[in-house]
Amino acid sequence: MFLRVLKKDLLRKKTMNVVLLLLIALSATFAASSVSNMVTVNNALDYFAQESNLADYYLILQQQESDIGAIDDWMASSDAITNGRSQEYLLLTEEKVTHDGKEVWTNSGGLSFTTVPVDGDYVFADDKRIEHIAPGEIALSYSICEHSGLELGDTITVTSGDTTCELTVTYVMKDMLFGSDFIGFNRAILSETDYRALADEAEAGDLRTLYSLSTDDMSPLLQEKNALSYAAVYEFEGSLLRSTFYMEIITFSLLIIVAVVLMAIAFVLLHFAISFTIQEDYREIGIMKGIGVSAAAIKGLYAFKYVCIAVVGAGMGFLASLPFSGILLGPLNNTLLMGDAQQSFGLRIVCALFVVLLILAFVWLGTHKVQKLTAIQAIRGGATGERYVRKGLIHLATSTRISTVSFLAVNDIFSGLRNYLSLTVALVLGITLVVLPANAANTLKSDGLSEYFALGTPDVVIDNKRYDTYVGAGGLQRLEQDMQEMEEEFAQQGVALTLDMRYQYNVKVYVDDPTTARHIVATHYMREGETGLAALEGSAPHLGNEIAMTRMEMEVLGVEVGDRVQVVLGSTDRAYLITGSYENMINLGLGLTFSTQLPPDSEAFGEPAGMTGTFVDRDAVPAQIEQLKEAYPSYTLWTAREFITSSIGDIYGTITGVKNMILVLVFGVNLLVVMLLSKTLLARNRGEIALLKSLGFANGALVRWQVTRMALVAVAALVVGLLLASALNPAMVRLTFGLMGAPNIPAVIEPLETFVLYPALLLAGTVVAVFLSVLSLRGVDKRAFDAIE
Amino acid sequence: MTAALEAKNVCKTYVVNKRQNNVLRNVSFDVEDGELVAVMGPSGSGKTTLLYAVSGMDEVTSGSVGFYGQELTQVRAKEMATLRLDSMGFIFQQMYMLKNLTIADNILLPAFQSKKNRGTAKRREKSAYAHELMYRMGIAELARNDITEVSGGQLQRACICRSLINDPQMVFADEPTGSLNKQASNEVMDQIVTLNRAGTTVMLVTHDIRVAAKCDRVLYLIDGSINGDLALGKHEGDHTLKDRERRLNNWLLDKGW
Repeated sequence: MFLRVLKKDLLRKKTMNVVLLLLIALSATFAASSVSNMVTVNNALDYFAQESNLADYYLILQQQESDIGAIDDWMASSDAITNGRSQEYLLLTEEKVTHDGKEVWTNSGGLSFTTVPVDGDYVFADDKRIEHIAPGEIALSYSICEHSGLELGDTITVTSGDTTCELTVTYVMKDMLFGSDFIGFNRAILSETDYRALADEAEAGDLRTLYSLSTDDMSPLLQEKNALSYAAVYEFEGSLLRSTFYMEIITFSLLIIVAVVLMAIAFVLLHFAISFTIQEDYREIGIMKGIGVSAAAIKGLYAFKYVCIAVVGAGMGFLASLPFSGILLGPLNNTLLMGDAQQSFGLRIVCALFVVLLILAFVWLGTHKVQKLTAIQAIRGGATGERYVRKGLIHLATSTRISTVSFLAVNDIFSGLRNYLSLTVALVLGITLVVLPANAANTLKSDGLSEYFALGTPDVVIDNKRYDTYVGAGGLQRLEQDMQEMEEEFAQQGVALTLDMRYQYNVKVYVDDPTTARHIVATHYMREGETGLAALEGSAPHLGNEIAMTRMEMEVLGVEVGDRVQVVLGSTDRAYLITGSYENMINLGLGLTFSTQLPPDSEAFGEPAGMTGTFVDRDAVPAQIEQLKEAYPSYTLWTAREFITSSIGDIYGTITGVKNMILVLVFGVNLLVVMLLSKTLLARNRGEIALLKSLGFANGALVRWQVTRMALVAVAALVVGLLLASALNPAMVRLTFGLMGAPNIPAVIEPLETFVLYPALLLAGTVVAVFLSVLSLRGVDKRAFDAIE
Repeated sequence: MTAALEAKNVCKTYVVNKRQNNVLRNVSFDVEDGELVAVMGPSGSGKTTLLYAVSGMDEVTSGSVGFYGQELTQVRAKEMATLRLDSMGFIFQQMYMLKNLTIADNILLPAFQSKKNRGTAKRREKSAYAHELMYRMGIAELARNDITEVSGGQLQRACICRSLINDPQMVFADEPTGSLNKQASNEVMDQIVTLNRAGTTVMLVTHDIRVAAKCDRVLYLIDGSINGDLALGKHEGDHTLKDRERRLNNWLLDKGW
């Protein structure tokens, strides 16, 4: 009997069953793919870290005898360090590393060269550790190759002093230490011969030493380190390296949310489908009950169909998740060492089974009405004997200004709100799912974002290829002189602008106890005018002994605006007054900013981190940038957003990609839901359509009735969805930007895109889908009004 | 008198499983303007099919149907809808109404849909007219009631109001008293006679001799053909009704009823 009923039902409600099947399959695909990929990436990161033999703490120092000596002595004597190693690096600026005459891309303005790591921090190619590189060969990270258009076998030219090496790209490597766009350091691996040839020609400032320190307990190691006197270029804990792959994980987090939303839509549709089926079969249910078939058996009869659909749908989803996961993981294979982490079949099966079980539970609950109805109530079509049921809220007699079609549409909605729940849920969740990542993407591409990268709001960022000359003794004086000369030269070209430089120091900061000092990045603007302090509370620092501090850093230190902290800058340890707090996304939101009045300190190790320019004529920014590009072909000029993208990778592109995928998915799911609902309501309204036809309503009017009804529901749902999205914006910001250090960045909403484009797209899709679905009402016989319930 | 309806050689054939079923065979008859005509015949004789065929509710297989001089078989679907809305009224055996609307709204629906009644003033006029009709039919107090709150007779009277709301030239009724009890049936038929007396042409299908006896003329249909046409004349009051019923009964017996 089960099979007979199933066959009959599958044939009778083809559209409904197909839509349900597709939704369940989609839910299972997304659930299985995203959950398994999350786990896969997590496992892969663990595996990658383990295989790379990473250390617990890293220090990068310029090769100055006193600093190197201090660290070497500490490594030799410390009980906290269980293993310590060092490796020399040669830093060459971009113009010294070229391919076919073009500079090779790096995200920090320079590329560091070293030899094959032997004791740890390994690199890999074709999932095997690179153990040897022959003279004339070079290994580059995927990121560098991708951005520079380099392929295996290409030749790059590296110049150091008077030595020039032609090197063939032999390996595209996976590098957990410096392979992510998120870390401002790139490395290339050379043979010992080539490295020595280049390093021997290097200037002292170009050589760095990377110290990799392992420990069983981080606290004593940090305490001992803080007691030392040295100036590091960069230092960080090894555990931070996982978070440099944050964007890879956030994509899958978003897809898990998509899967949950799809399941929610599937459940609402399921509820609708079950109610509709049971209502249609009231008489049969009544008769079955009347002859003594138990409620559980009847429920089983109805549940059986959905069990079959759920099992087939989840099976399809499981199968689809295999290639889908592969597609999603594809790009990660270029940067991560996956090991056997991809073989998470079991987890996918668990996810698919979870979808089936959820649906079964829902179906069982949904068929509750079968149990509740008495036999006679079922035979009466579900009526309990209660005669009076007030329906519509509006009346035609008093609605003299709206058309009958609109009246019928509105009246239908108010008379049966539950009928439209599935469409409402699909659209509310759909528009929310589209708008939130769209807002995140728009925030990422907004001009204001540069403030959160300590750039202020410049028109242009310029690399004049002389950054390396601004480091060390006399560097800041050279910088000031260069900026003046550049302003004059540009003015002669007809481009008037003011320049500034964001300079970064590695400083130590503590409140009372120097052994608890934290190493953080401090920003220093060379000139008055730019504060670069986003979401400033309090005031910007004006005097030489004033600073502003990021809110996250203040929380870590337990200080507030008005407090004083000790800052060790070079050899100077002095107290600074915190005048304001701000947010930024450099170094995951931890840092401080000096006043422009801070006297230049050549002893403190600092680096230029971006020369910014603001045009006097701000109405013709792109044209002036182009003019400068033509006049100074050796310079690199970016807009602020381009500069950020070049520094941290194309997060905007990643989120936009996810958003576009969600948009397509939401649009498709909405079409399915609309078609299902339209067809179902059309079947339910068949008698009424026939009656209206017999009364003289033309087909066009009846189509308008059906379309208007859905369009009104869609408009209301979209408005609710947009309100929900607006309410969730702060949470979205915290999720997307909070981890990077700016939980309170104001979300940028493009009104046309958010409030017009996406709602219009979904509304248009809804209207077209309803229109096409209800065209079949033209075939409803005028005499078929006996189908009125 | 002008002809309200002129049916000539109307045929209606259904093809089911490649089997041809001739439901109407060369049916020809006229209905004069202001006439009240009943169609009778045994079950399956094609009464309802004939009613739907000549009212434009269904297409004829061949033949012609003139409605106040307009050839219905040549009218396009959209114009036919307008014609049904503005010039024809329909009363069905079951009291079909839209379940989400009140009685008054169901009655007003065709009025407000008609292009003749665009504008607030016209609509207000129609609302008043709907109340007048309901008052005449004795259901004025049910205007705001839901359709599940009233009796079958009351609902059928509401259906009559709906059929009259656009002042149709002709009303077609398919067994309008078929699902009513005797008292309700009498009340409804009295309303139809009153309506006819006011000038509306009516063609109705019935099995009930008491209903048909109140009509001016009775057509007898058998096997899809008109087998008899009895002119009873205008029903002048209940005192002649018994005689009319007896006369009709005898005629029907002669026809094999």
